[in-house]
Amino acid sequence: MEQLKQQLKVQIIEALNLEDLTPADIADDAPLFGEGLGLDSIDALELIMLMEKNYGIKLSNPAEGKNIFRSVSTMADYIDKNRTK
Amino acid sequence: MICITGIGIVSALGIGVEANSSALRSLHSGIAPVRWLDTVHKEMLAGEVPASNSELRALLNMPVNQPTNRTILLGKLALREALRHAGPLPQSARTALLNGTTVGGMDRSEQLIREILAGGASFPDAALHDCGATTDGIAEGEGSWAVVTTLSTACSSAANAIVVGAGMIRAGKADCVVAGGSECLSKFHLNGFNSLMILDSGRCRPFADDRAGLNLGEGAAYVVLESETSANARGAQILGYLSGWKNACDAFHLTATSPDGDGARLAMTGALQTAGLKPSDIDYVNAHGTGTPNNDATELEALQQVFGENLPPFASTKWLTGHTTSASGSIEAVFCLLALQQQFLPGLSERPSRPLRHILCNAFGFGGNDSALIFSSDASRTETPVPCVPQQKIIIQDAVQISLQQPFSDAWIESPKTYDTPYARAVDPDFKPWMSAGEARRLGRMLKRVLATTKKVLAENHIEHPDAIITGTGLGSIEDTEQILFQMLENGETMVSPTHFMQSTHNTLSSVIAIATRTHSYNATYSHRQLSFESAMYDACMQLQNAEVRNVLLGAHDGMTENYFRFLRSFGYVGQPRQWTAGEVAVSFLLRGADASEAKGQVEIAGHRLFHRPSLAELKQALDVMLHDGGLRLSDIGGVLTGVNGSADNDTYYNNVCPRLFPGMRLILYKHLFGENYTVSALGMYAAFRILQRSPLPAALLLFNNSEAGASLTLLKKEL
Repeated sequence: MEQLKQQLKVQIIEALNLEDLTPADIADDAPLFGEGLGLDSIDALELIMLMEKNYGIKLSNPAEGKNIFRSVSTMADYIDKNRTK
Repeated sequence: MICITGIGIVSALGIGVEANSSALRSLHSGIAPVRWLDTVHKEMLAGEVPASNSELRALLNMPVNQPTNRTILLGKLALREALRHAGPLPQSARTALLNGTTVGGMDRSEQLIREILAGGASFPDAALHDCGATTDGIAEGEGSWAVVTTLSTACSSAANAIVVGAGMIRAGKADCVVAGGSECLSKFHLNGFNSLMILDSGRCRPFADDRAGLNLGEGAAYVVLESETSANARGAQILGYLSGWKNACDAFHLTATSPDGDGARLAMTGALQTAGLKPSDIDYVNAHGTGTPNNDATELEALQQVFGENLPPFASTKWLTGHTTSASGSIEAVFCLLALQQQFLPGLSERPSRPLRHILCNAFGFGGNDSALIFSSDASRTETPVPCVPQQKIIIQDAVQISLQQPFSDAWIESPKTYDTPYARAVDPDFKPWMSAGEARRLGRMLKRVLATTKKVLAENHIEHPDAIITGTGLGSIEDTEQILFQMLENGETMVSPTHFMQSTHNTLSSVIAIATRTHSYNATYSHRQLSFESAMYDACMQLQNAEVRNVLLGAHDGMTENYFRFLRSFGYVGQPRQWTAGEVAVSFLLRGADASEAKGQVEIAGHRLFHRPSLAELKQALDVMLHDGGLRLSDIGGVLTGVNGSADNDTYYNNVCPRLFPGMRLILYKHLFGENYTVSALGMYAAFRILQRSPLPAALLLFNNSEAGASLTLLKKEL
């Protein structure tokens, strides 16, 4: 799980072009949206694509992302349970 | 008074006004599983025009080997109908075609891209890729035009073409403007909208509580706008009036709408103001109503703010046609005119409870490009206030460039950089002082240049919010567009990046400026080949002359990547024998209205004209008028900056025309310094501006720019 979280942080930084951040800057339980990294609805879509591309998870309704993308921990949790690759 | 004397339409409801009118009145939806578009997503629902490309060609009697694309085919059908409907105009009428499109020829480019990148062959259809070439293709052979240009403000493109057309007629710049839009379905934007997860897998349900997104559509429509003088003189049948119009900007996000609906509200209240009407005068609202949760919630919020308790009946017709994107503004304008004539509520089964006299029509686009139009059945109470301070002088207050030369600098005058490669990228400055990490993170180099040049010119002139943001671009943010094309080449029609798609629309250029500066005022992007910048300048000058605005942020931006270089070379635009380097353009001008005393010592735009397929006599006559109005003789002009670029095909025109148009005058070249690209003429104007600024004596320069179907003349002068 730790390894998945680390890997996710690297993938998030790359997918969202958060060039000024390193994985160490993103706490496992820190909120990704809202006051967190300043992400918006387009970032949520990029994260949905990230899950599909890297973990074979397809979300059909973007609203589902809301709970999944609360933090790196919640995202890793969801991926761990639902991944197909 | 702006009369409407003709309409033409092609949509999923059918080909022609009759077919559309009858399907609209019987609420017969044209949405069905995808049939004509060559996509893997055949299960998706869309509003396609019910005819194949070869059937459309046959309807137009177009030879099978004539290069074209579906946007041209749809546009020509609608344009022919509108012109036929309007009846013959006198030979002397000054007629313009303003077309809105964003997709342009992408339907062919996405089919050809693999072959093009493999190199070798020439691909004539690729030459019609960009929006302007598509518009010229629509205009070709369909009439005699004084001006032809293209607005590209995403889904409000056609509505903004109507807004600009109204301005041209009111300013007396045209007797008749055919305005509207054309857009075919493409894999590019079908997959792009899919990546934004705003497509409903079922039928779209605008304003329904359980709405789940939009269905895309396609089509074209034009309205013939005509001055009262012209319409009355020829006894034209008047179908209705355009009484109100407003272009505003949400300035919030490239795809999401602001929660308070600022842009939508400003567009609607502005249109009411132009028309001199109260909200209670509006009998029906043709809403933008795409069916996405976000749009419809915001639009409803804005409607409630504008109309309060007395919200008139409103509906969207997109559940019948699909969202026809750039064409939707004019397709729905035609629906509004039909509704006024036949007294029905488009998209609703109920009958109107009171006579329909004034209909408000909304069209909103990505980037917050929100516009509203008001159509009226009678001329009473639709007196448009005429601007009272015409003939204001226009000065170039300042300009900032990033190009193949040193950025933010005029070192090119003393020690120009030279290039001998087929293409080169701009010399970029440090972008960090001009944008936060948050602002910059999604932007490619080209969009960063847009922000950097803009912010610098605004900051140095202490302007927070310009009165208008108008940009010209040949291809928009090609760095984003090529990413989408490559993602589709590599992965098929999956995994298209929403970020790149959102930024690939041409109007992203003007929109990122509006968002960064929180500017809600007039916002437009023009994309018309080598006249993209000149078209933007035409709009800017018109608004300054009418004293509608005090200042305009006028920009020109185009990029060049290795792949786009290969693409543009495939049809001979760049990379030709002996042609100078292809380059990149980023320049932001600050224009300001001024009276005669303020203009002294400043560089003034003393004249600016656009032409479509001009004869030498026409150019000569326009030049004489321009010199006369500027109080100058030809011998007062220090030189002419021309679009000579080293390649024989391009330069033959200038070599033929210049000695006859400007006999004995010095020709000044600039493309050897700044490279070839669609909007490089803006760097020509930048160079002329700096040369004149430095001149210790009164001086004047001409700029002459030719595109494949059009041309422009601009006169800059400085008086002491």
